[in-house]
Parts: sequence; structure tokens; C-alpha cells
Amino acid sequence: MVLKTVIRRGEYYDSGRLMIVTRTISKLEGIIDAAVQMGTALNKEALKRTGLLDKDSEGASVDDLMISMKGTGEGVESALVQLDALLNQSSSGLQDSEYRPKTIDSALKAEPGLNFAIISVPGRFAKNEAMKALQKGMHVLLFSDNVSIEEEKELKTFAVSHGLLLMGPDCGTAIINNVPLGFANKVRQGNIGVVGAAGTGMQEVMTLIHKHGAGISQAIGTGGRDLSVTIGGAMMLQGLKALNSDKNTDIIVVISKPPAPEVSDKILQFIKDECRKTIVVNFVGGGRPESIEACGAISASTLEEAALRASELAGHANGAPRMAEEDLDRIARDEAKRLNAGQKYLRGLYSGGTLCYESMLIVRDFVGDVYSNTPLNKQMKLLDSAAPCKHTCLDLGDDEFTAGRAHPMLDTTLREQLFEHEASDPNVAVILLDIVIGYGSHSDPAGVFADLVRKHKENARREGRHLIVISSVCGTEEDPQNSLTQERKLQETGVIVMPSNAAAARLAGKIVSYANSEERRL
Amino acid sequence: MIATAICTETKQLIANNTLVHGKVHSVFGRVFNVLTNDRHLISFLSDKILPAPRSICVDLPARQSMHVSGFLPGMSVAFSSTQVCIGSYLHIDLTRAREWDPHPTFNFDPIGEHLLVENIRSVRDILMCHGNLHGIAGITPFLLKTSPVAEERNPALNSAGELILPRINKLLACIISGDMESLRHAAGNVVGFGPGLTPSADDFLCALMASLLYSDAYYARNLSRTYQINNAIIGKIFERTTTLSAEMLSLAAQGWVAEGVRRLLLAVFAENGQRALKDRLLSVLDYGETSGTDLTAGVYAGCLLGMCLEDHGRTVNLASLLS
Repeated sequence: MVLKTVIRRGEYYDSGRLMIVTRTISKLEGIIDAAVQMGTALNKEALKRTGLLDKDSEGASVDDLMISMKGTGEGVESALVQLDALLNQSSSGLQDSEYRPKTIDSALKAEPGLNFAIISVPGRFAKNEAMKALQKGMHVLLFSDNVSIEEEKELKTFAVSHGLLLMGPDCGTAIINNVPLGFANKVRQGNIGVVGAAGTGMQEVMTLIHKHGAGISQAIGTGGRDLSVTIGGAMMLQGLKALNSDKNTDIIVVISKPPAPEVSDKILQFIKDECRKTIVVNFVGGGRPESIEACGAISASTLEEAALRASELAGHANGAPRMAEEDLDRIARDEAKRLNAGQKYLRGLYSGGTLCYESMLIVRDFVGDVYSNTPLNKQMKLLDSAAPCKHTCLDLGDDEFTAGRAHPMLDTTLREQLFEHEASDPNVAVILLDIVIGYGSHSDPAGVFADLVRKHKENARREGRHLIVISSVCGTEEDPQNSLTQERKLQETGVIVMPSNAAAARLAGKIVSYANSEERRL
Repeated sequence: MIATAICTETKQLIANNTLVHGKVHSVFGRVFNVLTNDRHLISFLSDKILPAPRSICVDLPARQSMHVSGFLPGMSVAFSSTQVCIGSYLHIDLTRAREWDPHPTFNFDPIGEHLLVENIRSVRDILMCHGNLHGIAGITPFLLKTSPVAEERNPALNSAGELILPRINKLLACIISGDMESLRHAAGNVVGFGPGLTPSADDFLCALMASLLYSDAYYARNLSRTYQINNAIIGKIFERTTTLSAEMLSLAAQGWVAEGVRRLLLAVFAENGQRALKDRLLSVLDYGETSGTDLTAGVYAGCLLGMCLEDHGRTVNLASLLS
């Protein structure tokens, strides 16, 4: 073990950079501990406490930079080689010439032409920040949640009256001028615009469009409450207006969980009267197809279908693998046969709210009502959201699960715990999982669940059960996690990977339906 | 380059020929410091930053850094009444610089005490929401509390905060008790803590000292006791902190702080309405990496302490008032 101190006389860096350098060196292989700081008495005292003080650091003056590290000889040597490069990077890895403002005012001072703000601060401060940006003529993506509906109304009224977009609150995804924002995927640029009140629903549609070979012009998120009676679809209409006048958009996809009926009518009337472009509408589980078609739009029953219709209109619908119904039936029968008599139920553990919602709609047609923390009807609400019963689908991104922890698309811990619980339940036949990748998401969600699936499939086999895990990957091969790599990791452990969320839900529904059918019991 | 503002005291030092030659001491993105031969530190700031004591503001383009502009540590500097020559080819024209007075502004109209409490609470809340807590500012919710309850502890209380919190609370207790010798010793245990050129603890102390003076002005108290307190705080700074920081602490002991901090203090004590306070707070939080947040924590501590001194040291009442 080596204790090494380097003294740099008269060398100065800001605190932020020195803290980053300390953390970076501490994490290097062969380094046990490190500290980079000025040679003040108190800093030396802190070094003494951590066993990093030696004769060299004792001799440093207040205006000297002390670099202290403890580790293996090789580790320390390697750290010393990297030291200058680390010190000459700023705290964010940017060069010094790049100024990073901390407030909207200072950002505008540095770059007066700015016209877009992403706001992610605790909810109680969000409205004021968003209003400030709007008042300065900026479009806003409001990532923050816990903004009251009254505040949302005020912000959106202001935005609409000034011709601005206020995406959110709780807007998780958008793509503006080919720049993915929030939780978003790397998709091809194209002529399909998306406007939606459903974050993962938009991601699913956009990634499937990409897989079909088509591309996205703009994607505008509105926030989940936009189509409520109070907000009245203010941003959905604003988004439609923007896409309608966007020269790079030829086809528009509208996605939302079921809107309030009067808001649905307003949106459809706007499409009929104002939109000059081809529109595909998927009100996931809501909106009558004939009403949608009566206003000249194309109705899609699932996110998968919305993507397919839009891609066909764009002249690209050959890329994405699709599964024929007879193939689904065959797989379902084969899998159902391997279940034991006690395995009757389906459990869905979702990180995406819209994906969960869509799955429940599909599964319900096969197995009947589904319990949930976000149910399709109030009677099916779980008494205890963390205790699934019978057929259950959980939206783990819902507020009650994210209080005090990161979103499940980023932090898989809670979903892992629930998976372990459900996989050990002898009554469970099928577990459904969504794997959402892209910017902002976990770096390797499939890797996390692959290990768990392997372990629990083996446990189930030893107990005479056949555990079926079905998944789909919402993402593209261009995402940092690479959808193909993620799919392969899952498949290698026996997960059935379907090409879309809807297909995964259909297969799960069919399996459970066969497992409980008279035909099988005979 | 053109100087847009100059601290009156700096101008006077130049006029008196006190500043003749020096060297560039340290260079950052929007600031570089010059150490003169007679050990005065002069800061050259981008004009996007408000003036500060001993500073000269220059018209640095918005996205350009001092490094890119050619300023490097060790360059020779020569001052005259009309210009500053740096190295062999960089010149800063002083003729058009407006003067900025670093003296504290004590002639303000004080707001009611209930509004002051509201403002101090906002300082704490906005700091905790928008600040960079990687320095020592995570201690803010626990100041003047002798034994933080475990459940109450903010996750932002990092290892630096854990080490410095009891020492700062000790220092605050010494200010309340008025035991100057203990205060001098307590300050010696705080000064110079933090990795950078202006250690986090020093930023905190600078704002604390200035805030105490403004608090005196608010309550129309005699300033002499606070000057005595501040002198005790800076009594042991030399050889315990960096040259630049020691200079800043000495100036802050007289109430000389950056214009942004002065405006913030005036907003706390004299502004009826949260808008201006928040704007000024965010502007201070924008300083450096953690400096602005540590300064704001010092403002909070100083204002709280100022009320406490008026309340004859009854900290319990204050804690409940601000909770």
C-alpha cells in the first residue's frame, strides 16, 4: 500500500472541479482513497482523519494544491498519469470556455436567443420557473410533477395566448428538431409528427415507427392531465396546430389515454376543421373509431397499430417484425401445456404507465378484469398496491411508487423485489415486463432482469412449475443500450420477447386463457 | 478590452500609486485574479457578474472565458490610471469604467419582522431547492440546532457538512454568548475548510459577517459589537486559508461584499415581496460552483443569528418560527 502526496505550488482550481477530481481519482482501480484540495490547516486536519496526511502534505502552504492518494503502487502511478487531464477538465467535463448558467436569467444573459427551457425542479417551485420562462417567450418542457391542476391551467392559458408550448407538467418525453428530451429514444428523422399525453405510449409508437423504417419530425408531449375537462386539451390543440404548420410533418399521430368525452369531441372537431395533414388517432382504450373516422382521421386500436398505420402512410411498413395471430396461438398453446394446474394468474410489472394501461385493455379481453394500482375501472383497484392478487398489472411509475425514489425506468430496485415475489408465487403463470430503454433510462435493464429470470426459472423448475416471462423492448438499436442487445440478453434466459407491448400482452392473455380453459383441463 | 466598472477603493489605490506591478495569480472561466507586489488581490470579473470589492469588471463576451481571452497565471501586470497592461499585448482600458462603491448600504427602510421571518425562510427554502449542496450548505437546516434529530437529517448533509456543522454551531453559539476568545478559537476551527481557492467555509463566513452588520442596521443596533465579533472571526485567518480568501474575509468583516450579495441582503431586510428576493437569491446562487450556495447559507445564518441576538439568544423560538 502506498500513500502519495503531490504538492503543486501556486496552482488554483475552483471547488467544484477539485471535488470532481477527488471523486474520479477515488474510483480509479487500485485507489483506496484520495483528496485534492488547497493546503489549509483544516483540510490537513481532514486528511489526518482519513489517514491521508503525510510529511509532504504537512509541509504544504495555504496557497498550495495538495493531491493526496492511497492505493496500490500501480494504482497510484496510474492516477498520477491521469491527474493533469482530470484537473484541466471542468466539473462537467466541459471546457472552461463553456459557461453553464444556473438560472433562466443568466442563461438568457449568456445566450439571448434562447427559446426553449426544460424545467425540472420540485413541484412547488415549478410553476414560477415555468411562468418566468414563458414570460420571456420561451417554449417550456416541464418535467416536474406535483404541480396543481390550477397552476397547470394558468400556465397553459398563458402559453396558448402567447403562441407557446407548455409541455407538461410531468412531461417525460419529447423530440424537438431531432433532439430527444427527457426519457426519449434515438429514432430516425422523418415526416411523422407525434403529439401525445402519454409518455411511454409516445416512446412505443416512435420506436415502432423507427423499426418500420419511417421517422419522426417532432414529438410533443402534453402532460397526462391535458385532456381532462379542466385543461380542455389546451396543449394537444397547440401541438396539433404546431405540427399542422410544420413543413417537415406530413402525418400526425395523436396518442392519449381516454380523454374526457367533451375534450375528445373538441380535439376531433379541431382535426376536422383545421388539420390539413393525415392524422392517426389512438385514444388508448377510448374514443369510438367511427367518431374518429367521421372527422377524417384514422383510428388505431393499439399503439402498435398507430405506428403501423403512420408508417404505411409514410411509405415504410416493412421493417418491424410482426407476429401472425396463428403463431401467437401456437406459442400460447405450447406454453400453456407446460404450466401446472395451480398456475392460473398473470402479473404485469410495468415501468411505463401507458404500456401498463394498454396491456390491461388487451389482457382483459382474454382473462376478464385485471387488478391494478391504476385500474381500468375503480372496482379493480388493489387495496394494497404492492400486494398483487389474481390477474394484476402494476404501474410502478405511478406517484405512490416513486415517492422518495427514482422512476422505475431508472431505478429497477422495486421492480426487482416485486419480480422475485411474483416469480415465487405458485399461482402465477405469466409475468409481463416492459423494458424501456433510451436516454434517461437504466443503462442495462435487460441485464438486471436476465439474472433474476434465470434464477427464478430454475427455482420454479425444481418446484415442478413452469415460469413464463414475456417482455417487449421499447427502444431502438441506436439507443445507448441497443434494443437488439437487450432483446438478446432476455432471450438467452428464456424470456419470450415480443415485437411490441401489445403483442406481449396478447400472448400473455392467450396463454392464461388457454391455461384456464376447459380444453386444457380435459 | 474595456473596463465597465471599477471598485472606488481599487481606483483610489491605483491613483495613489499603491498598485504598480503584479502578476496574474489565478484564472477561471469568468474571473481572473491579480496579486500585486504589495500583496493586494484585484479581481477582474466578466461584466456579466456584478462588481465586488477590489474588482474591475471587463467586457468579456458572453460565451468567452478568461482563458480563451489569453490570461494566464504568472503573466506580469502593470497598472496606470488609464489602463492595465497584462503580459506584452493585453490591455484593459480603465477610462470608461463607472465607479462602484463597496461600502455597505445601511440606510434602508426596514420591513416588519414577520416579513423578515418570511424572507429568511425563503432564503433557506430556495437555497435548499436550487443551490449546489456539494460544499457545506447542506448544513443550513441544522444551523443553531444543537442536536439534529436523526430522522430530520437532510440527505444533502455530506461528509464535509458532518465535519463542519458542529464547529459552525459552536461558532454561532460563541457569537451569541459574546465570548470573543472562544469565538476566535472557534473561527480558527472553521476557516479554510473546503477544497478550492475560496474554501466553502470562508464563503459562508464572509456572508455571515456581512449579514450580521445588516441585521444591526435593521434593528438599529450599535454596530460596534458586530465589528468586534467580525474581528474575532478573522483574528486567526492568516496562514489558515488561501491568500485570496483571507483578503475576502478581511473585507467582509467591514461589510464589504459583492454587489449581488449586498442586493440580496437589502432584499431580505427591506423588500416587501418575494419576487425580488428570489431573483436576487438565484443570481447569488449562480456564483462559481458552490460559492454562491455557501454564501447564501452564510446569509441565512447571519440573518437568523441577527434575530437571535435581538431575541437575547432564545434560539428555540426562532427554530419554531422558521420551521
